[in-house]
Amino acid sequence: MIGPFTTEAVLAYGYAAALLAAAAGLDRLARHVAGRSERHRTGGFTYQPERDAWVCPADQTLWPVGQDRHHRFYRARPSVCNACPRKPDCTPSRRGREIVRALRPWPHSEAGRFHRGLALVLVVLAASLTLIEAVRHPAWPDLALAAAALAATAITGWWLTGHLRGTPAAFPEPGQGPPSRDRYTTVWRPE
Amino acid sequence: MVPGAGTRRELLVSRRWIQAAALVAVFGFFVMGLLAYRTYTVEPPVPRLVVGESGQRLYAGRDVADGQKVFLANGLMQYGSVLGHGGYLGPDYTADYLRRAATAALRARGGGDRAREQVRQEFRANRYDPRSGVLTYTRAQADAFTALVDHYRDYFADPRTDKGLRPYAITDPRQIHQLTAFLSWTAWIASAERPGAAYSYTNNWPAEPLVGNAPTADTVLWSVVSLIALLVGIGALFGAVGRWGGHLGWRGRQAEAIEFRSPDQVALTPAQRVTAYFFLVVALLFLAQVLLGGATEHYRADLTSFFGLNLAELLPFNLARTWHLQLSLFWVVAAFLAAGIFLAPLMAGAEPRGQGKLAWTLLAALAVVASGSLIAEGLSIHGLVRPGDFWGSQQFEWLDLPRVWQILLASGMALWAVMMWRVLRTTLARDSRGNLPWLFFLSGLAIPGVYAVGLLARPGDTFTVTDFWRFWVVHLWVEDFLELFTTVMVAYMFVQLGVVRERVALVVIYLDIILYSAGGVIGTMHHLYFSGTPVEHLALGAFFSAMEVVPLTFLTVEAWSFVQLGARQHLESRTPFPHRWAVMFLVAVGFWNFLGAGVFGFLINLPIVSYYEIGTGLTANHAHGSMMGVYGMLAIALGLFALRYLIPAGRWPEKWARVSFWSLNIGLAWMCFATLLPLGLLQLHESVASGYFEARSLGYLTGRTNTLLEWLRLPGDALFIVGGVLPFCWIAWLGVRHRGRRAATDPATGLTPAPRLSDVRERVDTA
Repeated sequence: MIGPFTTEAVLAYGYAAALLAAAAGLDRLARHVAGRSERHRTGGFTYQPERDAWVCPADQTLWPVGQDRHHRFYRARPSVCNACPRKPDCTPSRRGREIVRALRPWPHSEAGRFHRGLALVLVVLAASLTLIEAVRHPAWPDLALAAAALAATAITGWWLTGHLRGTPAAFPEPGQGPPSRDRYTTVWRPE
Repeated sequence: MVPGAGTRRELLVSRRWIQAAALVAVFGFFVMGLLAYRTYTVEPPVPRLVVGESGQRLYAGRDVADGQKVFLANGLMQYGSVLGHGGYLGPDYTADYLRRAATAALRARGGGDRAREQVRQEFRANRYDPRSGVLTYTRAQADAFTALVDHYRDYFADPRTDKGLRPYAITDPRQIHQLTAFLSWTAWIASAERPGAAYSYTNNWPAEPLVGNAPTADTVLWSVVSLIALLVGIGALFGAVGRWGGHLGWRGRQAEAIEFRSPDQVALTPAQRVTAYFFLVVALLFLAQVLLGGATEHYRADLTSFFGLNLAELLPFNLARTWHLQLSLFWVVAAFLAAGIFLAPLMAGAEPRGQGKLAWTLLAALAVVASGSLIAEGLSIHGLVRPGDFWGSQQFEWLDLPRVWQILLASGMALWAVMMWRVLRTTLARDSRGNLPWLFFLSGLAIPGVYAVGLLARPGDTFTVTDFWRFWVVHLWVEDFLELFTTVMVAYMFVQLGVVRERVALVVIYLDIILYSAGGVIGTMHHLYFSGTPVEHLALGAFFSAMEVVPLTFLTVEAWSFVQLGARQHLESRTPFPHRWAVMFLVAVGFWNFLGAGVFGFLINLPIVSYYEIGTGLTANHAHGSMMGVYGMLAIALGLFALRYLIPAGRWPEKWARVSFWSLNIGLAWMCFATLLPLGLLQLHESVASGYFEARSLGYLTGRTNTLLEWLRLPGDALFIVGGVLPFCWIAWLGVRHRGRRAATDPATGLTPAPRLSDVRERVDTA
């Protein structure tokens, strides 16, 4: 007995709570890692949401030049880039540095959905363990713990599914063909 | 300098990377050499003869060696363990013998505190005479030995199968005597004090109060030192990242814009087309492996019957587990070899004549080795092969395949290395020895090389020595060399996919070599804390593997974000990105590398944890999370990458790739978190609170809570097999059915041009 509760109940519901913590922790960590991954592409560049523009390390601005359903494209002036001494470390393009920004960020990316999905598996598991233990030993003070664990599970589950509810997948399915608009010829016209 | 060296392409990264990598590797292997020397010079002695106090002969040194062969041949290392190494269903026979012998001795002395103290002193005293090579057992020890020969005779000749062993597993009285001699010897080295020390040859493992075995001062000290090393390492890492982090050179540069060709436009070389059959074999071996895993797991949930069937008569637990482990290596290695065959021409630009035939030869050889060794193990466990037989019996855990098959497997991998050389040699001649093609070739060459080191473990050698070399394969080959080859292949795939530039890929590889070698090579010793190796193995193993954690965490997090780059690549392409699921499996590799290999691995790494934990459920948790999570997912990623070109675009089963991806990952997460982790934690608690012997007993393992947790795995396992593996088999079958489009061979040179997978839309400005 631990206080008024049986040891088994404390262990089972405690493990369920630990699973919820692990789910939240892994999700946060995965998000952080995705941020690092994003910086591989945009490192040194700062996004300014109020102007909807990026500023490069040489203090030049990349303006939006077009978008499709899921992404917005930004480009710097080719004349500026082509004259920039830091160009070799920045872009191979003769048409100015480009940055692609996903409109709905993590967890809507494919990798985001994977990690969020695994976190949700842990939440489902926590709920299953709680219910199994409650059915095995439906004794009074322990059931209070079960209720607390279930409530925590519900909250975590609601929080983790929040971003995903009602949003379609962002990945262009094969067979759909290329995006409907050619952003380089149709949308962007060099001056 | 070879002729024409002047025309080589320049090294793409700073020469310091090579120097640092070489320095770290040389240091690591120098220390390993010293430790190998120490292993041989101060290993626990095998007495020429063991006698009782009155001089009666109990057993000879030869019996210990033969007993070890009997132990291995009957697959007992895949059922229970000795000195903590082996399977987890049966007992640890070292702890088992020790407890039974000490209890018998205590009973003979009438019990009570004085008797306890006497028994403790008897078992701890080292009565081995190195000059005569004779070990003298006290009367109580000798009586216990005789009694335990009877005990193990009854135990192994049991006609029932309710332990998970086949009925009448061992009945030959001579073999029982040899086997008991072997177990008695392991129990002797576990309790008798090392000359000049106050602890046993095994650093007082296992925990057994009756013989005064408790964690040594060194075990505690080096656990603390490793923790401090960990903290210092974290500080040093933060310092290093702050100081040089920006110099890794892979930040913020826009990737070269490329467009992927539709798989229909990609014409493959003959050997590349043969890989379709490789991947079908890979898928079928994978299926067999998980079905056997299901059977193994069922034994833990319900030991006595398989849904009403007495499975143990045909497929006892130890055989199912032997095959399960063996196949896990086979299918992963087969996938790696196939991926090498597929990627090499892409790197070289063409494939020489005859490569397709060699690929067929390699596949046939692999099929022969896989089936031959599995059959041999089956025959051996069913008692049809002489123990220690060159052709039919070896069965160290993970190095199960008998010697001849082990040699053939190493030769097969050497043949593969030759195939790589044939394709790459013109490229290699033109390139700097520090660039990607050379790293690809050299890391490939190391695969047969390091695997062959496992041949130094022979069934009749001292267990301490065999375990030392066994972990060169289990740890060093897997953790360092497969990991290195993996990194090179993934980095190369990313160069192919336009995700990163070659220079960045190289930096990642060199960083990987340095960080893995710094801790990983000497860290191999963290498996050998208690195998009879001297205390420096424990100290260095604990210290370096703890030091390894920091850079490894950094590297796994870095790799985790690195592989996610692949998932973003589709943003840049105007044509559809063909490798959606291949890169998603790589994202999964990144995740499991962090969780399964990193977190679950460090959980059991400290000597003081390992002291109570070794041979229990948390090891299985780490093993599944890392073997399947990292190497399994990677093998599938490589398979899907190649299969994308082997299956026409219109026939590509996108839906099944998705189902397989989600099912494998959810199934694995369920397996670890629903069963393996909680089970392991509870067992660790039992081991510390009640005792190691108790925590490993069948009575504990088949208790109600354990049984419930084992059954909890069922939904995850079913999803893994039905939703994860079967669709992969279907995709592999489609690969064989279509086998891609064949490229035309130049009749004059015999070269087949390698396919182009993508076109560069915006070239790099050379100005």
